[in-house]
Amino acid sequence: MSSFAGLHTALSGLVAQRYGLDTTGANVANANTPGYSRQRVVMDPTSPMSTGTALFSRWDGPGTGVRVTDLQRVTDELVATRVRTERSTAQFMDVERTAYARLEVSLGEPGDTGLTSRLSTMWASFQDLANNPGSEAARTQVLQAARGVTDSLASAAGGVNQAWNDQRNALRLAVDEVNSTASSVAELNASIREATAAGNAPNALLDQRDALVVRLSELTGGTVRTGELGTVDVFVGGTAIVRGEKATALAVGAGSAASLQEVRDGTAVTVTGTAGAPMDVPGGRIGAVLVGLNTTWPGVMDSLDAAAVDIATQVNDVHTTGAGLDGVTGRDLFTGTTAAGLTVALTDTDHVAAAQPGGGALDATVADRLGAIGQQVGSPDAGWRRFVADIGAQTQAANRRSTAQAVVVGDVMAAREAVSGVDIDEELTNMVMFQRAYEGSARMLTAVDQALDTLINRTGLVGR
Amino acid sequence: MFRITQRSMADTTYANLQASLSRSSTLQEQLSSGKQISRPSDNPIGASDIMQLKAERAATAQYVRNAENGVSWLDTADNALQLSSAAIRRARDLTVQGGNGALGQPGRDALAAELKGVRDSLVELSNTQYLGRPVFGGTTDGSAAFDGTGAYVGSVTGTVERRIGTESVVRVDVDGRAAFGDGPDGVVARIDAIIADLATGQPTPGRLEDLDASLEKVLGAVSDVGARTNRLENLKLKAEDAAITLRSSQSQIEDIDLPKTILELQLQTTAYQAALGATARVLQPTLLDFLR
Repeated sequence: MSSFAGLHTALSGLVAQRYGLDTTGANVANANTPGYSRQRVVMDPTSPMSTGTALFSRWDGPGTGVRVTDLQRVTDELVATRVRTERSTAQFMDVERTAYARLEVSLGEPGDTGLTSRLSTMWASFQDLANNPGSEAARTQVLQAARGVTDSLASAAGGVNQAWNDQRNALRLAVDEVNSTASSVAELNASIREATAAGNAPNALLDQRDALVVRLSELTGGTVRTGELGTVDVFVGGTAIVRGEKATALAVGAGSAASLQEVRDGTAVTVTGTAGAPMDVPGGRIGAVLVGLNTTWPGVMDSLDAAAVDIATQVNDVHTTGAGLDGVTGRDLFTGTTAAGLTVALTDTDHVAAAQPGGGALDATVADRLGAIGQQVGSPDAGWRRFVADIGAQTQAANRRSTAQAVVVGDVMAAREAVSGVDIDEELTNMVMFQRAYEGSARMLTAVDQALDTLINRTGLVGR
Repeated sequence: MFRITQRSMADTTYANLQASLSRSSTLQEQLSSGKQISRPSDNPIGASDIMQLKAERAATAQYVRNAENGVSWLDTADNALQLSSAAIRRARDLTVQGGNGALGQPGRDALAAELKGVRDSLVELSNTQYLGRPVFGGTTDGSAAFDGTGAYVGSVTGTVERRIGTESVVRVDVDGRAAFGDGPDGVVARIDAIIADLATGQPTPGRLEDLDASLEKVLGAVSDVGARTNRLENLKLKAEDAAITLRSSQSQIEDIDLPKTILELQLQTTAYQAALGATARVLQPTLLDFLR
């Protein structure tokens, strides 16, 4: 063994401990960086034995020092997978919850602005007409109250259409974000592959990349498969949107519906991948938005239309049997078969039918029957109440699901933090350890130096 | 062992603070609005019940209005019928006087003149209106139930009714023909006949009986109107009672229990303060504090 080997051993210690101190510094600096994974220095003792065949040397000493073999990034792939899955589900539920909350508010129930109040006003106006069938004021009141009903339905339908359009725009923005995120992931994959191939530890790149992959999962519910040399592939519904260094651009399907009505006419909103092939997006924000666009909102609109038809039919069935002040029967009070398109057909107040034909000019039998509709079994009011209660129950369920999922996300984020988070106490302990070891190596260097000094400068000076 | 870091403690504390604040916010909203159900998702079934109760309250309020309108109709008719019966009694008195053999033609002329006045007032009474509609004319859109000769010109079909409940309908007009008679059988025509008799001599025997028969008809109508007014008033009272019951049912579902909510808010505030206190201690000493 060389006389100077001790110096090298001490030096390797100095270098390794300083590396450890640097790592501790990096960890403490990033203690509050979202997505940062703590790093750990892996040290190995060095051996003078070359890995090749050594024919003429033999070594049985304490080793030649220490070497930093790896800068380990402490992560757990299982936890990372759970983070992606749960956050994706949370985003799905969040979109659902927001949509229902918005719908529920737009119905205005059980307040004084909802359809229930407007219907009550209309039924009352029919009875006021029955009390005073010849009164112009009572007739005007009936038409106004009927317009109140159509306004209320039209505003609910308008709210649903507006919500649909907003979600449609949100879809486009989300797809754009997926594309930019996916290409960033692909670029990072390329850098990571290079660095890994060169034997470096691209930990910061991996952290960045993993954060972006989480975002991709949040947006699409995508799943991840680890590739070679640290790269990852991201799959959405079986199609790769990131494969190694290549990202596939998503798009809103070319023939997608541009309005809620088009969905109801049979054209769905789709998301397409490579070469316009339709893609199944199972979860995340986009998945939830697609469910809303293609199923939830059209379903709500169907219910609103059914309510409109119910009101129109029940009122018209009675109204057509009655005669206006001019004696003409068979007039509809409402026309239209949609919530948005329901209108009051009559403009002339004399045409409001209050009288039963043959019952005398100021007979009010029909007005009375119209006024009684609201309290009958199977009234439009009852149908509307069921609809509102149904929406309420679904909103409540969506709220609960979303709240429960938030707790789950909190748990997995805590689990991630437990694995990858920086503990200041731990880092400080390491700091003290590295610092002391550094001091020790420096002292070692001095000791060897002194020994050599003794050997070189003071040896063989006997009698001089 | 689950590894705990400073950050995970901060995260947990923050999440708990948020949850606590969210509960406070819900209670604050309930307290300030006075309602525990302000949107359907707060309680879907309760919201549906509230909507139903509101609709029923609106219907009940309308029944009360209908009843008030009906009572006015019947009161108007009742008033006219009472005056009519007095007028007929007066006509009967005059007729009895006209039968007095000691009375000369000038006396009979004076009686005839007064009878003419009674007859005109009866025509007017039988055309009594409520809000422009003759209460004895059925569903007519004309302004009179009888013409000047006492012939019925009102509607021969249809009745005026008021709805005071899902199943209760009360008639509020009076058939003029039943109360006053029509044409030659009408009270006006009968008085006309007496006036004609008096122009030449004493009233023909049987006139008094005719007048008595007319009086009977009017009195019959009075008692009928009275009975219907009674029924209407009863139904109105029932509707008013129902309105109160419905209001309190709605309140029970919709409104908050004030002491309970205030107490809960107080507890929640205390919990929130405790959570804040805990948060302040999250910034615990670290090893740093003990390293020189």
